[in-house]
Amino acid sequence: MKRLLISLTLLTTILTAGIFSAAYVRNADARIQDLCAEIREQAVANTDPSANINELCTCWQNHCKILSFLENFNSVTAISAEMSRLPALSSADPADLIEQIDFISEQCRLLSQRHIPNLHSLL
Amino acid sequence: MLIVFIRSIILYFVITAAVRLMGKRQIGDLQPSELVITMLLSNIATLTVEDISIPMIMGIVPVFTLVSIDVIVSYLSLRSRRIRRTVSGSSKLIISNGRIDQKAMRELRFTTDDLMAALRAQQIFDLADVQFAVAETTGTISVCPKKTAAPPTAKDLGLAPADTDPPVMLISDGEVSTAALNFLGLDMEWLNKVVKADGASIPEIFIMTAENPTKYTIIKKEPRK
Repeated sequence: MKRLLISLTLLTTILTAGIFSAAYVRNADARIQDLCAEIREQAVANTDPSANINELCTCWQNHCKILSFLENFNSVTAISAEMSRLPALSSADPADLIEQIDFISEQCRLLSQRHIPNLHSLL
Repeated sequence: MLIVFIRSIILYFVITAAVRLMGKRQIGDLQPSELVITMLLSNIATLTVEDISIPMIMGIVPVFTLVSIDVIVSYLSLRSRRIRRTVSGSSKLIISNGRIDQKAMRELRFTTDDLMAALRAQQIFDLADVQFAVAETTGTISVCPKKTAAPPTAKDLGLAPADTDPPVMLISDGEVSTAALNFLGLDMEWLNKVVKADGASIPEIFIMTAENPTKYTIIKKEPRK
């Protein structure tokens, strides 16, 4: 009986932690997607996107700290490497910035999808 | 290397805790579900130790998830015969009244070589000596030999020896087991008296077993060179 209770407690805890982590990743990704969309708009309108780029980099840095416990290290560092190019691109050609931000947005979306249970991520 | 070292230690304790949670059944003969769990646990642990890009949580979560599910399924198997049959299967009679059930052997995909090997493992070398043989859910074969082939028991010889409990270990490597002492209805006073009479003290005893206050065995520790 004791083992059964421990097992039920463990399963419940793991399931709860899993749901919370999926919710966290989805919310963090939503914020990153919003920032990427704003930066894209600013790049298209030829206005200064530096503030949003800084915010995106800070957001990703904080997200990274938690994501490193949930995700493969190589996937996280790959996106971090792409993010580190953004500050330099803020004063470069807007087309390059748009291409980079689209790439980052897609990578972040794919990464977060792996944490949300759906047919694609399960299979 | 340091990271792999630390991960190995963590996984060792995690897997030990997981196997302890599953209970003593795991250490003996394996049911099909237990075999699956054992193989999965070892693979998960290996991946997590070797590949440091995989977060530790991705090793610990599946280990405890699998073990918890196994414990719950085992508990449900205890309560429901149908679940027990679905998860573990059921034993099959392959030799009955000395006759081999060839259909059962075909269903189990047991060859004649498998059958003879299993009988030899039970010290039976002649099929004619077997009364019943059952293929258990763990894959082992339990054999009941014919009376004419089985060693005679005390009952067969018309003897009626008294039932005795096996000896219990009172001292193990200088440490006294108070539970064993209480089981035999003895106390420390008796133990000290007996050990002193043997010319030793409790820390000097390697093993001491006893069946009752008058029948005991003492083995002293060897002096270290």
